[in-house]
Amino acid sequence: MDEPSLLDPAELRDAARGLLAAAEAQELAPETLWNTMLEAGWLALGVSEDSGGLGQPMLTVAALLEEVGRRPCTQPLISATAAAAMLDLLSRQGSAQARELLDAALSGRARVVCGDLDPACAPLAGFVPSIVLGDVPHAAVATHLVFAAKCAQRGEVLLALAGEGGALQIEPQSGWDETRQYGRVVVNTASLDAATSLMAAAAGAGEAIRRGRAVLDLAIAGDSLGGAAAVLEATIVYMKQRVQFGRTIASFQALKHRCADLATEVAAARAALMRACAAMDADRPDAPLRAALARLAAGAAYCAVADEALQMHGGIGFTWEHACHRYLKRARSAETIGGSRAARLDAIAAELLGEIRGERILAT
Amino acid sequence: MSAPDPSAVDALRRDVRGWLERALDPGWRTRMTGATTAEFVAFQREWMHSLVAAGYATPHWQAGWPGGGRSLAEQRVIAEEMARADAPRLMLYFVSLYHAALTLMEWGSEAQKARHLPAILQGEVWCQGFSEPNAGSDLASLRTRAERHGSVYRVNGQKIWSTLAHHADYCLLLVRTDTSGPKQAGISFLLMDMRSKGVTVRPIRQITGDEEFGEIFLDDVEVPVSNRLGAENEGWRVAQTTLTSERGITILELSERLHHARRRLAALLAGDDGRGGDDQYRRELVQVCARIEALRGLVAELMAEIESGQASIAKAAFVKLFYARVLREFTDLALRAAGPDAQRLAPLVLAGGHETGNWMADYMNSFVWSIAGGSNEIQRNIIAERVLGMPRDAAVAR
Repeated sequence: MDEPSLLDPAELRDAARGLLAAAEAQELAPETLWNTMLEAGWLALGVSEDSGGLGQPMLTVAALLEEVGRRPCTQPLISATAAAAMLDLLSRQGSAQARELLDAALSGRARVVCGDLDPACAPLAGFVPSIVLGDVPHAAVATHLVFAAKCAQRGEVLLALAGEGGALQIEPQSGWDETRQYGRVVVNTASLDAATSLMAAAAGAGEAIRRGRAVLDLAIAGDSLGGAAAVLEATIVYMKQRVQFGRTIASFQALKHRCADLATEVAAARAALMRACAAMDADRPDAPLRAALARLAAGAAYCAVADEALQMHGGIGFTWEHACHRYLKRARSAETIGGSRAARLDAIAAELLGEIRGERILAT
Repeated sequence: MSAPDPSAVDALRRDVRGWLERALDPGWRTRMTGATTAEFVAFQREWMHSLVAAGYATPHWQAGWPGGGRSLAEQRVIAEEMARADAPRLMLYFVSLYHAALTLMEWGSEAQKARHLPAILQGEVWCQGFSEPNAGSDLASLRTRAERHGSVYRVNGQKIWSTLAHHADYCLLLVRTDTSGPKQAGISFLLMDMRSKGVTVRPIRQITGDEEFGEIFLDDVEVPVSNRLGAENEGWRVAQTTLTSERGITILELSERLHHARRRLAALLAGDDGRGGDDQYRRELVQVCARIEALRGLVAELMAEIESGQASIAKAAFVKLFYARVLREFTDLALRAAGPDAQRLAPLVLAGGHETGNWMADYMNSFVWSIAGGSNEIQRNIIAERVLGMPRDAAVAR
């Protein structure tokens, strides 16, 4: 197969900005907006051409997510992108089931999102009547959920379950962050049909889960950096207009220095994301680790910027009408996807220490 | 500078790596731990001569000079390999090889270049006489006076924070030759022999006990007019060359050293005695490593900008500020994890970089980066005003 022709990330971002602005102006219904995004190829962007996607590199996917992240977005693009990455991998390895579900997701017939990708959290055994996956982002609007589990017979497994009846119960949850559309998911293992739900087991599942987690990390990082950049820019624009004591508050050094620190954090986290995407596109074995580190940097930057943006806006930033709180809530909720920050740090530590120990010994 | 050929760059990497395996004494850190000044100078001289002979001391010099004419990609490879091999830093000759040499190449007369550039390759040591007690971040307000008397300038004043000035043969000296106009307009750039009558150097004892910096007192020192670089009162422009001479290579090497030093920190955290082996420190290590990755990414972006001839103010300021921060975070974590052991007075590892394992000293030395070369506060002003477009403070004189 020929190499796919590469889209220009800058042009893609311009187009995305235009599309989202138009959608906002027209007050598009969420379902309509999702279909518009699918028609624009946003979910297919990083999916290989073999699997019916556009075959674009992760650098381009991250650029799109950065643009989308500039306005806290209610669409499940992050989660669906990670789910599609897993289905893509399995489909290329010959799974007709994965290909079928991926086709449905890309065409809009199904809305496939990610559940928990940390199998240690979901032991799946015959004698456990049900497992609670907890509050899963976008489960409330999903038709299918792809998640990892462990079972006694097959080890690590990747399951895809339909959201309607059957083994899956999804109860919509209200969250502080209104963009995530959480659903509390309970899996009724007794009515689980392995023939239709099992996407992969053992090593194959491990590889797909690893890729899914890396893409999820990069997607969250992209979205976070877009949000951080947008809210920081808006804050600086506001500070240049707001006059107190006879001068704009943007001229106060105490505030300028804080903005400079935040801009530095965003620039640095963005550089980490670019490196991690490049590692992913080059298929380097350390790419998942780089992705996890990039997400840490981006998440910390988003939280710091959202927090400071509210403070520097003063009272107006504390109002419901102002956008500040939407970024603040999204930044905080992003940090909990896929487990707490501490749990992620512990998981990364094991891998990182392995990498560091594998390096040559420094002089003493 | 020729366009870098990828295979040539790879070949250079193999050459440098192989050379370092042969040329570098693996026990050099032990030798330099608690070394005397004389031992430090002797070792620096030895390492300088090895590097010059191998052609790795001057990759940034113009073509035609020994070791010179290397592309930026090649310079980067040499710096990366020095960091990877944990080689000593060439501190004694840094000002000579970068600031003095590159300023001379751009602004020097043929006679000045012929006098000094070969001497630098032989080991002539230079220092920088820029900062003054009352001209630090606001360098252009410097007050050291130079009055012209026939064929000489007579110089009076005081310089400070001059790195290794007490070892220097020559000084890149900024002086005021005119007080009538704007402060940047009356500055001239002189090349001063440190053995001239009236020059007194006093090393400054730092918080680590080391004497890396010095004060220079100038009392009716006569500097020949022929030792002026550039035109009279044009010194500020010349100084910009000096201040931008490093072109990112130093920060690249330092960020790579920080990356490799993760191993030293990880070893500390996983100490055999269980010290530092707790979850909290391991989590902090992960966060510091995430920031080192971000730093390396920023540095790569800076290098790419420099390579394409489009270096932005933004990137350089981001890199300077972020490196200072990450270095502080790294040494702070190590210091806390090392606990009481790091509080015991221990000898310094001279020229050992910023992550030597003498964690209290390393932590203290990290302040060099947040203060020197444009303090963190100056970088923040640059970012806020020139990158984010926030207004200048009307009350501050420029």
